[in-house]
Amino acid sequence: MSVTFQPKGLLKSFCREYLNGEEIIELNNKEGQTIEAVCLEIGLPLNMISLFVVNEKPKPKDYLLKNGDRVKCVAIIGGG
Amino acid sequence: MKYGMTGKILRIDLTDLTYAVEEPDEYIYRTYYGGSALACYYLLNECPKGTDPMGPDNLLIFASSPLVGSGIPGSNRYSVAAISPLSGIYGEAEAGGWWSPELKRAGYDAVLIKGKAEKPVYLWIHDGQVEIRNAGALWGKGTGDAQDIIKNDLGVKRVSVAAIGPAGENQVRFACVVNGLKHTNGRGGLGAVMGSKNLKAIAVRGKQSPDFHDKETLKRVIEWYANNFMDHPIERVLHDGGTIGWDVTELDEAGILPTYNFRSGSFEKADDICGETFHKQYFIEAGSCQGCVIRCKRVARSDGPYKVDPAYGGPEYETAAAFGSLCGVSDLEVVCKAHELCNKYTLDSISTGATIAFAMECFENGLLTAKDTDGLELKFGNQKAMVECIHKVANREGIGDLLAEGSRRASETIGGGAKKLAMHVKGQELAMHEPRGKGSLGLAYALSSTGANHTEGPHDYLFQEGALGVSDLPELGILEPVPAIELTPEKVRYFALMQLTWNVFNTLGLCIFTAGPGKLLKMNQVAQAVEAATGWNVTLWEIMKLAERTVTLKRAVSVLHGITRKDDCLPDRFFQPLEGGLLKGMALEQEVFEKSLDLYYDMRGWDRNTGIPTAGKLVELGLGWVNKLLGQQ
Ligand code: SF4
Repeated sequence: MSVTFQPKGLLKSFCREYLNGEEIIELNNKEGQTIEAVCLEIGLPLNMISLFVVNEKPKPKDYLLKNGDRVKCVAIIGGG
Repeated sequence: MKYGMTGKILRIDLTDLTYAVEEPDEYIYRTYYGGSALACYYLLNECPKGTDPMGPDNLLIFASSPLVGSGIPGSNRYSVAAISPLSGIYGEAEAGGWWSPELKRAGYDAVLIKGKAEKPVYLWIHDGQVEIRNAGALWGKGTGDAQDIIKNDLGVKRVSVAAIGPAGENQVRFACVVNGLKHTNGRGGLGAVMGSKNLKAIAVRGKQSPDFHDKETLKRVIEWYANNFMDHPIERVLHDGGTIGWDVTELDEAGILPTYNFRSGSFEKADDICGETFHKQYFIEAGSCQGCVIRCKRVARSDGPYKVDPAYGGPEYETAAAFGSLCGVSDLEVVCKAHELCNKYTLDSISTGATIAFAMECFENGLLTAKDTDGLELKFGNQKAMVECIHKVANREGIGDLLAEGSRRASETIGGGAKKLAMHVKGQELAMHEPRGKGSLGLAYALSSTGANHTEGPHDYLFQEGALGVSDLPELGILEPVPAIELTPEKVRYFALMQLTWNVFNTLGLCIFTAGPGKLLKMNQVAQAVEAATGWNVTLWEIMKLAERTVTLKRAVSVLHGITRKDDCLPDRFFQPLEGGLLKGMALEQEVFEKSLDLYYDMRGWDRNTGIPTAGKLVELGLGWVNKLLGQQ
């Protein structure tokens, strides 16, 4: 009964304690919650996240999570 | 000029090895400030249509700015400008480091160079003095050796050197200028202009910084910035990871990482060339430019088979993508080596990677064969061939001689459909950002007066709903967020306004990473800092008008040298579907794109049919004198 969150690249530095050295955060009992709510809970800065990819498809931040969802959080800044 | 600038411009004539000092009226400084706007003022006046970019009449300009040396984070940059040998139009590139503040301490705001020395020379500018010295022993040397020899020759350790390596000497059309071995005026082939003049380097050193008007205010801003930048998410990630740390993985995930010569938006081995891998395997320390607390620069070292020398810094995102995903190469040590070679030879890493990727696609399509490539199997992913190509380009050997002409000219020589594979705008290769996934970036590439340029405007995702940059837009009159991908009329308006903020930084000598929308220092604060530096009563309105003047001046130089609306375009590939990644199938729509250009010209006061700034717009910007040059009025 879980969903996974994968903060990509630089976003990892905002939730190191949840990652605990891993690439993916596994969370229980999040069904029905929004991506936004979970991001806030684990410390991801919403205003830096450009894209949420759920099961390889882009989704908005108010998407309601389902059991087994795999969520990737991506920040796109650009330049350089 | 009482404050902020030295009030002196140095003119060098390399043909007769003489120099002169000019003291322009304050009116010139207040109208053009410095950097790119000042450079355009001189280019318009002194380089008429038909000026040969590699000829003695091309004017090569190194221009600093009033904020430089004030200590405001990021205020350490300068523009190098000339008629570009790559595009044949306006060429400009900026660099940070220490060179620009040092030029002002040495007593000059800008250096204007004409003519051609009979034998190689370098300039030594120090405490108001100017020497034109023999560079015979430096010719043929890479930047590292050249810098060492200059320091020994002068007997001065703390000298700042902007130099060219063999690529500049051999007039590779995308040769760059490198200062301090790590900071590059990358784009437009300005290193080739130096080479064409037999000018190896400009060494600067001085003890006297210009006086700044309100040092207390400047100090307050500097301290405030130092105390707050780690709380700003963008500045923090830039500090923690540099540009290589904030892009590869993210763009790959979003399906907009330029891959296989822009065929795909996703690279199957992106994780091998990303910031995390870099920091684990090759990062040794962070580096900086003068007076900047962000310290976004990275230094790489490897003792592996490719041996990477840390003296040349480390790759930025652009370099990682250009020699990584764009060429299908997944060995990060090779990417770091490619970076080192580019800084040593003085090659623009974007154009070098992009031109090699173009050649790889030509090879895979049979337009080039092993007979043309000196036996190299120039296929995507062949990292050995890629590194070999870099050496050949810098030295103009074999296939390198063709590629040293840049992808546009090379494609014309190769023929047989090669033109469709050359990813350039106005002759300059695209930087490592995918216009099919960033709406306004496509406009930036198409409309930049220097050819495809990623620093012409912002990157859209930071200004979509809920994103960090949105709260910075109201001071520019933009009250709504903009969608990242779509090209709507509102998006064109957003681009037109944001293009101004990015452009004015090249006139003010300020780094786009420390200030502007989405960054810590806001535009209003920039105006206040300029006022504190100069003592002029400066408002945001004046800064934005200066920005508009800058964009229009650049356009005027390029119009004078032959561009019209038809040159404001993108390669056909971007109107075809992306072949891979999250945005697979995504393509730009030609009709929407053309309509967006129409709107942009209207907003900018440029003629829709020709793309030329209208007579009225030029007068309104205080540039009435340009009308005559453009045959108007
Ligand atoms: S942010 Fe980076 S590139 Fe800009 S001035 Fe600071 S160290 Fe230099």
